[in-house]
Amino acid sequence: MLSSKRFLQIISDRLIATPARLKVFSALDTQRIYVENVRALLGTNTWIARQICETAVRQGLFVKRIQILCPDGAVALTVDDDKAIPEEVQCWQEADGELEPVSERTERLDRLEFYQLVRPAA
Amino acid sequence: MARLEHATTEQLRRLLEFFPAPKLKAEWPGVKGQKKEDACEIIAGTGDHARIGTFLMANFAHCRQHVLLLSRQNKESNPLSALPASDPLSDPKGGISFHLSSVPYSVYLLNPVEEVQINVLWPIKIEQDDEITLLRTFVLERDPTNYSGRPLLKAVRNFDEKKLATDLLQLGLPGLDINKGVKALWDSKVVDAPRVRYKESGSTNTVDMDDGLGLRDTKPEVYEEVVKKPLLNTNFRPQADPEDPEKAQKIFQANPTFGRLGFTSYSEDPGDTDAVIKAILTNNQ
Repeated sequence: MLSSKRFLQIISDRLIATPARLKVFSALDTQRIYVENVRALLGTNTWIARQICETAVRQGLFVKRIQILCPDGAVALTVDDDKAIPEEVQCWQEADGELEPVSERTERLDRLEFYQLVRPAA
Repeated sequence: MARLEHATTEQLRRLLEFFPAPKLKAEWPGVKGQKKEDACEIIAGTGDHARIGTFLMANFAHCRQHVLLLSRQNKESNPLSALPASDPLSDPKGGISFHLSSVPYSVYLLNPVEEVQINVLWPIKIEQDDEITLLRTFVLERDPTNYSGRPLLKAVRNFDEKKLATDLLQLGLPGLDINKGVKALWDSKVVDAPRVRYKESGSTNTVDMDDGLGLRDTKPEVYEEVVKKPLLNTNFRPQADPEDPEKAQKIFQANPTFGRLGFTSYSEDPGDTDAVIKAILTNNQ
Protein backbone atom coordinates (compact mmCIF):
# COMPACT_ATOMS: atom_id res chain seq x y z
CA MET A 1 0.00 0.00 0.00
CA LEU A 2 1.20 3.49 -0.83
CA SER A 3 2.05 5.47 2.29
CA SER A 4 0.92 9.07 2.57
CA LYS A 5 4.57 10.11 2.63
CA ARG A 6 5.21 8.23 -0.60
CA PHE A 7 2.06 9.65 -2.18
CA LEU A 8 3.09 13.22 -1.38
CA GLN A 9 6.59 12.45 -2.59
CA ILE A 10 5.25 11.36 -6.00
CA ILE A 11 3.30 14.58 -6.37
CA SER A 12 6.19 16.61 -5.05
CA ASP A 13 8.66 14.98 -7.46
CA ARG A 14 6.43 15.71 -10.39
CA LEU A 15 5.91 19.29 -9.31
CA ILE A 16 9.52 20.06 -8.66
CA ALA A 17 10.33 18.78 -12.13
CA THR A 18 8.25 21.53 -13.70
CA PRO A 19 8.04 24.97 -12.11
CA ALA A 20 5.00 25.81 -14.25
CA ARG A 21 3.14 22.92 -12.62
CA LEU A 22 4.02 24.21 -9.18
CA LYS A 23 2.33 27.47 -10.09
CA VAL A 24 -0.76 25.57 -11.21
CA PHE A 25 -0.84 23.51 -8.03
CA SER A 26 -0.58 26.58 -5.84
CA ALA A 27 -3.63 27.98 -7.63
CA LEU A 28 -5.72 24.89 -6.93
CA ASP A 29 -8.56 25.17 -4.48
CA THR A 30 -7.79 22.24 -2.18
CA GLN A 31 -11.46 22.06 -1.24
CA ARG A 32 -12.48 21.41 -4.86
CA ILE A 33 -10.01 19.21 -6.67
CA TYR A 34 -11.35 17.60 -9.85
CA VAL A 35 -9.63 14.63 -11.47
CA GLU A 36 -9.10 16.81 -14.54
CA ASN A 37 -7.23 19.40 -12.41
CA VAL A 38 -4.82 16.68 -11.26
CA ARG A 39 -4.49 15.26 -14.77
CA ALA A 40 -3.70 18.65 -16.29
CA LEU A 41 -1.36 19.48 -13.44
CA LEU A 42 0.68 16.31 -13.74
CA GLY A 43 0.42 16.05 -17.52
CA THR A 44 -0.72 12.48 -17.20
CA ASN A 45 -3.85 10.63 -18.26
CA THR A 46 -7.21 10.49 -16.53
CA TRP A 47 -6.78 6.93 -15.27
CA ILE A 48 -3.56 7.74 -13.41
CA ALA A 49 -4.97 11.02 -12.06
CA ARG A 50 -8.02 9.17 -10.72
CA GLN A 51 -5.82 6.49 -9.10
CA ILE A 52 -3.84 9.22 -7.35
CA CYS A 53 -7.03 10.81 -6.00
CA GLU A 54 -8.51 7.49 -4.92
CA THR A 55 -5.24 6.53 -3.23
CA ALA A 56 -5.35 9.81 -1.37
CA VAL A 57 -8.89 8.96 -0.22
CA ARG A 58 -7.74 5.56 1.06
CA GLN A 59 -4.86 7.25 2.85
CA GLY A 60 -7.25 9.69 4.50
CA LEU A 61 -5.70 12.70 2.74
CA PHE A 62 -8.72 13.41 0.52
CA VAL A 63 -12.46 12.94 0.93
CA LYS A 64 -14.60 12.39 -2.14
CA ARG A 65 -17.77 14.38 -2.71
CA ILE A 66 -20.32 14.48 -5.52
CA GLN A 67 -21.91 17.43 -7.29
CA ILE A 68 -25.32 17.01 -8.92
CA LEU A 69 -25.36 19.10 -12.11
CA CYS A 70 -28.44 20.77 -13.56
CA PRO A 71 -28.97 20.30 -17.33
CA ASP A 72 -27.08 23.56 -17.95
CA GLY A 73 -24.09 22.32 -15.93
CA ALA A 74 -24.70 24.47 -12.85
CA VAL A 75 -24.23 22.66 -9.55
CA ALA A 76 -27.57 22.12 -7.83
CA LEU A 77 -26.32 20.17 -4.83
CA THR A 78 -23.14 18.78 -3.30
CA VAL A 79 -23.27 15.59 -1.24
CA ASP A 80 -20.81 13.31 0.49
CA ASP A 81 -19.89 10.22 -1.51
CA ASP A 82 -21.63 7.81 0.86
CA LYS A 83 -24.77 9.89 1.47
CA ALA A 84 -28.13 9.32 -0.18
CA ILE A 85 -28.99 11.63 -3.06
CA PRO A 86 -32.45 13.23 -2.96
CA GLU A 87 -34.90 12.32 -5.73
CA GLU A 88 -35.29 15.92 -6.90
CA VAL A 89 -33.31 19.14 -6.89
CA GLN A 90 -34.13 22.66 -7.99
CA CYS A 91 -32.59 24.08 -11.13
CA TRP A 92 -33.21 27.22 -13.18
CA GLN A 93 -34.49 27.29 -16.71
CA GLU A 94 -34.85 30.19 -19.09
CA ALA A 95 -38.29 30.57 -20.63
CA ASP A 96 -39.31 33.58 -22.72
CA GLY A 97 -36.26 35.47 -21.49
CA GLU A 98 -36.99 34.86 -17.81
CA LEU A 99 -35.43 32.44 -15.37
CA GLU A 100 -37.86 30.08 -13.70
CA PRO A 101 -37.20 27.49 -10.99
CA VAL A 102 -37.81 23.91 -12.11
CA SER A 103 -37.64 20.64 -10.21
CA GLU A 104 -35.42 18.07 -11.87
CA ARG A 105 -35.29 14.37 -11.04
CA THR A 106 -31.71 13.59 -10.02
CA GLU A 107 -31.79 10.30 -11.96
CA ARG A 108 -31.70 12.45 -15.14
CA LEU A 109 -28.78 14.60 -13.99
CA ASP A 110 -25.03 14.21 -14.29
CA ARG A 111 -22.90 13.64 -11.21
CA LEU A 112 -19.42 15.09 -11.00
CA GLU A 113 -16.96 13.79 -8.44
CA PHE A 114 -14.42 15.99 -6.75
CA TYR A 115 -12.04 15.70 -3.83
CA GLN A 116 -11.25 17.78 -0.78
CA LEU A 117 -7.96 17.84 1.04
CA VAL A 118 -8.59 16.88 4.65
CA ARG A 119 -7.50 19.69 6.87
CA PRO A 120 -5.40 18.48 9.79
CA ALA A 121 -7.04 18.86 13.17
CA ALA A 122 -5.93 22.04 14.91
CA MET B 1 -33.55 -7.46 -39.34
CA ALA B 2 -37.18 -8.13 -38.31
CA ARG B 3 -37.88 -4.52 -37.36
CA LEU B 4 -36.68 -3.32 -40.77
CA GLU B 5 -38.36 -6.11 -42.75
CA HIS B 6 -41.72 -5.37 -41.14
CA ALA B 7 -41.40 -1.60 -41.31
CA THR B 8 -44.29 0.25 -42.91
CA THR B 9 -43.71 2.63 -45.83
CA GLU B 10 -44.35 5.51 -43.44
CA GLN B 11 -41.68 4.24 -41.03
CA LEU B 12 -39.20 3.82 -43.89
CA ARG B 13 -39.93 7.34 -45.09
CA ARG B 14 -39.15 8.75 -41.64
CA LEU B 15 -36.02 6.59 -41.40
CA LEU B 16 -34.74 7.90 -44.75
CA GLU B 17 -35.31 11.49 -43.63
CA PHE B 18 -32.42 11.09 -41.19
CA PHE B 19 -30.04 11.08 -44.18
CA PRO B 20 -28.75 14.05 -46.20
CA ALA B 21 -30.46 14.49 -49.56
CA PRO B 22 -27.27 14.24 -51.68
CA LYS B 23 -26.55 10.77 -50.27
CA LEU B 24 -30.10 9.58 -50.94
CA LYS B 25 -29.93 10.89 -54.50
CA ALA B 26 -26.53 9.32 -55.11
CA GLU B 27 -27.87 5.91 -54.08
CA TRP B 28 -31.22 6.31 -55.87
CA PRO B 29 -30.46 8.47 -58.94
CA GLY B 30 -34.08 8.20 -60.05
CA VAL B 31 -35.15 10.71 -57.36
CA LYS B 32 -32.77 13.45 -58.53
CA GLY B 33 -34.59 16.76 -58.86
CA GLN B 34 -37.14 15.82 -56.19
CA LYS B 35 -37.50 17.61 -52.89
CA LYS B 36 -36.06 15.57 -50.03
CA GLU B 37 -39.44 14.66 -48.50
CA ASP B 38 -40.73 13.52 -51.90
CA ALA B 39 -37.53 11.57 -52.55
CA CYS B 40 -37.90 9.78 -49.20
CA GLU B 41 -41.51 8.93 -50.01
CA ILE B 42 -40.56 7.47 -53.42
CA ILE B 43 -37.65 5.44 -52.04
CA ALA B 44 -39.73 4.15 -49.12
CA GLY B 45 -42.40 3.17 -51.65
CA THR B 46 -39.99 0.77 -53.36
CA GLY B 47 -40.20 -1.42 -50.26
CA ASP B 48 -36.62 -2.53 -50.83
CA HIS B 49 -35.87 -3.07 -47.17
CA ALA B 50 -32.55 -4.83 -47.76
CA ARG B 51 -31.17 -2.01 -49.90
CA ILE B 52 -32.32 0.59 -47.39
CA GLY B 53 -30.59 -1.38 -44.60
CA THR B 54 -27.34 -1.56 -46.56
CA PHE B 55 -27.56 2.17 -47.35
CA LEU B 56 -28.17 2.94 -43.69
CA MET B 57 -25.04 1.14 -42.51
CA ALA B 58 -22.85 2.56 -45.30
CA ASN B 59 -23.98 6.15 -44.69
CA PHE B 60 -24.30 6.22 -40.90
CA ALA B 61 -21.34 8.61 -40.49
CA HIS B 62 -23.01 11.26 -42.69
CA CYS B 63 -25.95 11.72 -40.34
CA ARG B 64 -26.49 14.04 -37.41
CA GLN B 65 -25.62 11.97 -34.40
CA HIS B 66 -24.90 11.73 -30.71
CA VAL B 67 -21.91 9.71 -29.59
CA LEU B 68 -21.52 8.37 -26.07
CA LEU B 69 -18.01 7.20 -25.23
CA LEU B 70 -18.28 4.72 -22.39
CA SER B 71 -15.73 3.10 -20.14
CA ARG B 72 -16.35 -0.66 -20.01
CA GLN B 73 -15.99 -1.09 -16.27
CA ASN B 74 -18.42 -3.99 -16.50
CA LYS B 75 -17.41 -5.94 -19.61
CA GLU B 76 -20.48 -8.17 -19.41
CA SER B 77 -22.92 -5.26 -19.71
CA ASN B 78 -24.76 -4.68 -22.95
CA PRO B 79 -25.47 -0.98 -23.58
CA LEU B 80 -28.47 -1.93 -25.72
CA SER B 81 -30.32 -2.93 -22.56
CA ALA B 82 -30.54 0.78 -21.63
CA LEU B 83 -32.18 1.63 -24.98
CA PRO B 84 -35.61 0.88 -26.47
CA ALA B 85 -35.83 -2.69 -27.83
CA SER B 86 -33.83 -3.25 -31.01
CA ASP B 87 -32.88 -5.84 -33.63
CA PRO B 88 -29.41 -6.35 -35.07
CA LEU B 89 -29.03 -5.11 -38.65
CA SER B 90 -25.83 -7.03 -39.22
CA ASP B 91 -23.54 -9.55 -37.58
CA PRO B 92 -20.86 -7.91 -35.40
CA LYS B 93 -17.67 -7.43 -37.39
CA GLY B 94 -14.42 -6.12 -35.94
CA GLY B 95 -16.22 -4.97 -32.81
CA ILE B 96 -18.75 -2.98 -34.87
CA SER B 97 -22.44 -3.74 -35.01
CA PHE B 98 -25.54 -1.95 -36.27
CA HIS B 99 -28.97 -2.19 -34.69
CA LEU B 100 -32.40 -0.80 -35.40
CA SER B 101 -34.48 0.33 -32.49
CA SER B 102 -37.83 2.10 -32.46
CA VAL B 103 -38.70 5.10 -30.33
CA PRO B 104 -42.35 5.50 -29.33
CA TYR B 105 -44.02 8.90 -29.71
CA SER B 106 -47.50 10.03 -28.72
CA VAL B 107 -48.71 12.35 -31.46
CA TYR B 108 -51.66 14.67 -30.91
CA LEU B 109 -53.33 15.52 -34.24
CA LEU B 110 -55.97 18.11 -35.09
CA ASN B 111 -58.95 18.09 -37.48
CA PRO B 112 -60.23 16.00 -35.81
CA VAL B 113 -58.40 15.87 -32.48
CA GLU B 114 -56.83 12.46 -32.16
CA GLU B 115 -53.98 10.85 -30.22
CA VAL B 116 -51.95 8.29 -32.15
CA GLN B 117 -48.95 6.23 -31.15
CA ILE B 118 -46.13 5.94 -33.65
CA ASN B 119 -42.75 4.23 -33.57
CA VAL B 120 -39.85 6.03 -35.21
CA LEU B 121 -37.14 3.67 -36.41
CA TRP B 122 -33.88 4.65 -34.75
CA PRO B 123 -30.53 3.29 -35.98
CA ILE B 124 -27.77 2.55 -33.47
CA LYS B 125 -24.10 1.80 -34.10
CA ILE B 126 -21.94 0.20 -31.45
CA GLU B 127 -18.15 0.04 -31.64
CA GLN B 128 -16.40 -1.83 -28.90
CA ASP B 129 -12.91 -2.82 -27.80
CA ASP B 130 -11.69 -4.19 -24.49
CA GLU B 131 -11.82 -0.87 -22.70
CA ILE B 132 -14.24 1.42 -24.51
CA THR B 133 -17.70 1.30 -26.02
CA LEU B 134 -18.88 3.90 -28.53
CA LEU B 135 -22.64 4.18 -28.69
CA ARG B 136 -23.77 6.21 -31.69
CA THR B 137 -27.38 7.20 -32.31
CA PHE B 138 -29.10 9.55 -34.72
CA VAL B 139 -30.32 12.90 -33.38
CA LEU B 140 -34.06 12.58 -32.80
CA GLU B 141 -36.34 15.48 -33.59
CA ARG B 142 -37.47 17.18 -30.40
CA ASP B 143 -40.81 18.19 -31.79
CA PRO B 144 -41.37 16.42 -35.06
CA THR B 145 -43.95 18.06 -37.30
CA ASN B 146 -44.05 15.87 -40.34
CA TYR B 147 -45.80 12.81 -39.05
CA SER B 148 -49.07 12.52 -40.86
CA GLY B 149 -49.79 15.33 -43.26
CA ARG B 150 -52.42 16.55 -40.78
CA PRO B 151 -52.09 19.58 -38.49
CA LEU B 152 -50.26 18.63 -35.35
CA LEU B 153 -50.82 19.89 -31.81
CA LYS B 154 -47.71 18.29 -30.40
CA ALA B 155 -45.64 15.12 -30.34
CA VAL B 156 -44.22 13.65 -27.15
CA ARG B 157 -41.29 11.26 -27.24
CA ASN B 158 -41.84 8.41 -24.81
CA PHE B 159 -38.17 7.75 -24.31
CA ASP B 160 -36.10 9.90 -22.00
CA GLU B 161 -32.70 10.27 -23.67
CA LYS B 162 -31.49 12.38 -20.72
CA LYS B 163 -31.84 9.39 -18.39
CA LEU B 164 -29.73 7.21 -20.67
CA ALA B 165 -26.39 8.24 -19.12
CA THR B 166 -27.58 7.32 -15.61
CA ASP B 167 -28.97 3.99 -16.84
CA LEU B 168 -25.65 3.19 -18.54
CA LEU B 169 -23.77 4.19 -15.40
CA GLN B 170 -25.85 1.73 -13.41
CA LEU B 171 -24.93 -0.95 -15.94
CA GLY B 172 -21.26 -0.31 -15.18
CA LEU B 173 -20.74 1.79 -18.33
CA PRO B 174 -19.89 5.31 -17.13
CA GLY B 175 -19.03 8.08 -19.56
CA LEU B 176 -15.36 8.12 -20.48
CA ASP B 177 -13.50 11.28 -19.45
CA ILE B 178 -12.13 12.63 -22.75
CA ASN B 179 -10.85 16.00 -21.51
CA LYS B 180 -7.31 15.04 -22.46
CA GLY B 181 -8.18 13.96 -26.00
CA VAL B 182 -10.48 16.91 -26.70
CA LYS B 183 -7.94 19.42 -25.37
CA ALA B 184 -5.20 17.85 -27.51
CA LEU B 185 -7.41 18.33 -30.58
CA TRP B 186 -8.09 21.92 -29.51
CA ASP B 187 -4.39 22.55 -28.91
CA SER B 188 -3.48 21.14 -32.34
CA LYS B 189 -5.35 24.07 -33.96
CA VAL B 190 -7.54 21.75 -35.99
CA VAL B 191 -10.53 23.21 -34.16
CA ASP B 192 -11.31 26.22 -32.00
CA ALA B 193 -14.22 26.86 -29.63
CA PRO B 194 -16.72 29.73 -29.99
CA ARG B 195 -18.54 28.64 -26.82
CA VAL B 196 -16.89 27.06 -23.80
CA ARG B 197 -18.45 25.84 -20.59
CA TYR B 198 -16.16 24.65 -17.85
CA LYS B 199 -16.02 23.86 -14.15
CA GLU B 200 -14.20 26.41 -12.10
CA SER B 201 -13.66 25.97 -8.41
CA GLY B 202 -16.92 27.17 -6.85
CA SER B 203 -18.72 28.03 -10.10
CA THR B 204 -19.61 26.84 -13.57
CA ASN B 205 -18.46 29.34 -16.18
CA THR B 206 -19.34 29.99 -19.79
CA VAL B 207 -17.40 31.97 -22.36
CA ASP B 208 -19.46 32.94 -25.41
CA MET B 209 -17.18 34.50 -28.00
CA ASP B 210 -18.41 37.38 -30.14
CA ASP B 211 -19.06 36.76 -33.83
CA GLY B 212 -18.23 33.06 -33.52
CA LEU B 213 -14.55 33.76 -32.86
CA GLY B 214 -12.47 31.00 -31.31
CA LEU B 215 -11.36 31.29 -27.68
CA ARG B 216 -7.88 29.86 -28.20
CA ASP B 217 -6.89 32.25 -30.98
CA THR B 218 -8.69 35.32 -29.60
CA LYS B 219 -8.05 35.06 -25.86
CA PRO B 220 -5.00 32.85 -25.36
CA GLU B 221 -4.63 33.89 -21.71
CA VAL B 222 -8.17 32.66 -20.91
CA TYR B 223 -7.58 29.53 -22.97
CA GLU B 224 -4.46 28.69 -20.90
CA GLU B 225 -6.56 28.75 -17.74
CA VAL B 226 -9.55 26.90 -19.17
CA VAL B 227 -7.52 23.91 -20.36
CA LYS B 228 -6.56 23.13 -16.74
CA LYS B 229 -10.22 22.60 -15.82
CA PRO B 230 -12.97 20.08 -16.57
CA LEU B 231 -14.83 21.02 -19.74
CA LEU B 232 -18.61 20.74 -19.92
CA ASN B 233 -20.83 21.45 -22.97
CA THR B 234 -18.52 23.16 -25.42
CA ASN B 235 -18.94 23.96 -29.10
CA PHE B 236 -16.05 23.35 -31.45
CA ARG B 237 -15.72 24.25 -35.10
CA PRO B 238 -13.05 23.40 -37.63
CA GLN B 239 -10.55 26.14 -38.42
CA ALA B 240 -11.61 28.38 -41.29
CA ASP B 241 -10.56 27.10 -44.70
CA PRO B 242 -10.65 29.73 -47.49
CA GLU B 243 -11.25 26.97 -50.05
CA ASP B 244 -14.17 25.53 -48.11
CA PRO B 245 -16.05 28.32 -46.29
CA GLU B 246 -18.83 25.95 -45.22
CA LYS B 247 -16.39 23.81 -43.29
CA ALA B 248 -16.23 26.29 -40.39
CA GLN B 249 -20.01 26.01 -40.02
CA LYS B 250 -19.78 22.33 -39.08
CA ILE B 251 -19.87 22.85 -35.36
CA PHE B 252 -19.75 19.84 -33.10
CA GLN B 253 -20.45 19.75 -29.41
CA ALA B 254 -18.46 17.99 -26.76
CA ASN B 255 -19.08 17.38 -23.10
CA PRO B 256 -15.65 15.88 -22.40
CA THR B 257 -16.12 15.31 -18.67
CA PHE B 258 -19.01 12.94 -19.40
CA GLY B 259 -17.72 11.45 -22.68
CA ARG B 260 -20.32 12.91 -25.02
CA LEU B 261 -20.09 14.25 -28.54
CA GLY B 262 -22.82 15.70 -30.71
CA PHE B 263 -22.55 16.14 -34.46
CA THR B 264 -25.59 18.20 -35.33
CA SER B 265 -24.69 18.95 -38.94
CA TYR B 266 -24.72 16.50 -41.81
CA SER B 267 -21.24 15.33 -42.68
CA GLU B 268 -20.23 15.39 -46.34
CA ASP B 269 -17.15 13.33 -45.78
CA PRO B 270 -17.77 10.18 -43.73
CA GLY B 271 -14.32 10.71 -42.28
CA ASP B 272 -15.37 13.98 -40.60
CA THR B 273 -17.19 12.34 -37.73
CA ASP B 274 -15.01 9.24 -37.50
CA ALA B 275 -11.80 11.30 -37.74
CA VAL B 276 -12.81 13.54 -34.83
CA ILE B 277 -13.66 10.54 -32.64
CA LYS B 278 -10.45 8.75 -33.59
CA ALA B 279 -8.29 11.84 -32.94
CA ILE B 280 -9.87 12.33 -29.51
CA LEU B 281 -9.42 8.70 -28.49
CA THR B 282 -5.84 8.53 -29.79
CA ASN B 283 -4.88 11.61 -27.79
CA ASN B 284 -6.79 10.54 -24.71
CA GLN B 285 -4.41 7.74 -23.71
